Amino acid sequence: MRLTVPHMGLLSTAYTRVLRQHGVDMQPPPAATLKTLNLGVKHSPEFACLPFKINLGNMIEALDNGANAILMPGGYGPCRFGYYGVIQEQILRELGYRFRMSTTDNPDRLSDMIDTIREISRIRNRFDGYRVFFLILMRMAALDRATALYHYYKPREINREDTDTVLRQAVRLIDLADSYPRLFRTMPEITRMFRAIPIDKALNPVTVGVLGEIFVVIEPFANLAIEKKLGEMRVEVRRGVWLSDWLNDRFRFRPFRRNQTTYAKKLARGYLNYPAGGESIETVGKTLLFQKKGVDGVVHIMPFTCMPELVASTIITRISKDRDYPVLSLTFDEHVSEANIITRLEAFVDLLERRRDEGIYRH
Amino acid sequence: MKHLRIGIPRGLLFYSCAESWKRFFQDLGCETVPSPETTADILKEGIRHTVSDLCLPVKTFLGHVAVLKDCVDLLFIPRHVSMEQESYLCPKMIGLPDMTRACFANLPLVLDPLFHVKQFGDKAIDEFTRPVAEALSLSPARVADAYREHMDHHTEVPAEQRRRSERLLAEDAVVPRSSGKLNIGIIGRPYLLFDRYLSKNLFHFSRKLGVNPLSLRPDESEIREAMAVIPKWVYWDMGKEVVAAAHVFFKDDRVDGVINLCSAACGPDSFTGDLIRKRLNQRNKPYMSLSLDEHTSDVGVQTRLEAFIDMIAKVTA
Repeated sequence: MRLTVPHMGLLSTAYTRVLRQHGVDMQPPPAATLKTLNLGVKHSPEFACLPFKINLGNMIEALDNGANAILMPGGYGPCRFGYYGVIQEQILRELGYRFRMSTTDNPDRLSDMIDTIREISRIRNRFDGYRVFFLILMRMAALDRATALYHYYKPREINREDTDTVLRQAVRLIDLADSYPRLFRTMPEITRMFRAIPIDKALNPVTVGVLGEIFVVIEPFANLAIEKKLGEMRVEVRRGVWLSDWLNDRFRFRPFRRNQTTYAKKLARGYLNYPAGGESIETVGKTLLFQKKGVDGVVHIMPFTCMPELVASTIITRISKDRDYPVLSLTFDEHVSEANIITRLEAFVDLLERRRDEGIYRH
Repeated sequence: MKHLRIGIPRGLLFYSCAESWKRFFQDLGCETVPSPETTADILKEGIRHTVSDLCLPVKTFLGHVAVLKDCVDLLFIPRHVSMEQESYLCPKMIGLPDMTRACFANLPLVLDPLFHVKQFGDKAIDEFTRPVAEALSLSPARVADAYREHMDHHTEVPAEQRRRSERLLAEDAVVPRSSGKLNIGIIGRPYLLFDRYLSKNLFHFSRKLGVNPLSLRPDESEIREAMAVIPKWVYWDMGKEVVAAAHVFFKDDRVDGVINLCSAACGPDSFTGDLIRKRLNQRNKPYMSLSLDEHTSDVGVQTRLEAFIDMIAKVTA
């Protein structure tokens, strides 16, 4: 059985090597390209959201490369994600692929995840299951940590692309750190690598919070590498949603990190009093948080027809009006053009810079 | 207690629950003021206030809010999160009270009790009635009683809708083959089907074309039967009903074709539509999916309906 799991940001880097060591024949899909997207779009329902289409493209490419089993998380939420697997399986069978499809219908439950890991790997012992799963989570947290460092150093770098090279190396190092001790040794090393980048210390960059639907936020292919683009415009990105936080809210593997969903719920009170699925509550709560903390503006990104983020987008437009706070909502689908996104980002950054020059701080 | 006028926008859940809401508030000594039926102006007003690419029914709903907001004491926009243990409503309906507040500057008090069976189970009614009691300064027990009396069975349908959604198997609803008339099942969410403006008067127009339009609200056993055919329980409340209705229509020999009326960019329907087309329509009945948005014209819908009927005539001939 050659198992494939559709991509979600750097998640596959976190689990592939670890699971391979425990006897899972992993075949991650090739990194998403335009071809992936086109394949996905061609076979998807018209109004399905972008993550669905990219995931479907991932599956097709992986199956073409020899995978014969797919693992797709499911669930029962108001968002469409829980139903992805069913529709994707139907489409792939119609295309004539033969494969085994497994979905985890309770992806939020730790025991379910452990059972899934035991089912696909050689691990029989429940304790080993926990150990491996938590190692994967820690690796994900390490990847997110490296990305956060990237956000800090990217706008300040003197030689273009330096930071990107370091991030690639860091991801590689974390990928190789396949045990707890190695992972803990790697982290200081990565911090040192970022510190060694020559930077413009005098620069006080404009800061922008990036919020929205988690898949498009963490997947550079889906959002046309918006964080890199902002970095190149000398803007420091403050990302509001992290995959490791999302996992931590469910599995509590970082006991000292607060539950971000509960925190966002508290922050959003008065604007969104009940989570409307997906990352809607995070988007609203963190917009208010960024405004309070003096982040210059917020870029809100979402896939076209995303239901929870449309609710959030309506509400943060109001927040923007109420508090005179710059918010830019960008919708991503297969038709989005790079020039469009760059132009709008540039205009937005210009606006932020001017507000800063004129000393418009209303916090 | 002051005599309160409670505004109920004619949109979304109105088409499923209005009758029981009305009786519920009457029992509590309040007057309910529904907004008028949707018109082009109401939709335009809704579009003016919405800020993003929301779907047609939500825009219409906000148009109704705009009509009501200055002439009532309270707006009743309940937050229905889940109607049953294993289901959710669409996120836009969960966030509806907050979205409404975000879209308008000077609203009267919005009464947004939470209805969430999945979380509160049997206590959902108490959770729902407590804020209502608070807003109307009544005792919670009295409100809960009124709720049990009037709203516990959501199968209550507004009179207008009941007239149209006579049970399919009631013999007078289906016309016999011999009459030469076609029976066409129309499925879709109640707030599209029974809003005459949004559905472009599809029922009326199909009758004019000499077709017998049918719609139905599936009951529990029909829903369970339909869910057994598809691989996974559909966890959207209304989506589930649409799928079950489709299943009944596809199964029934007397129905000649099925039309799925949905709004463009509807999240759940983009998936359930795929299920209906590929999984449920195993006998390959004529099926058309008709998606509506604010640019849809009457003529466009009518032309497609005519073409669909011509196609059925060819298939059955």
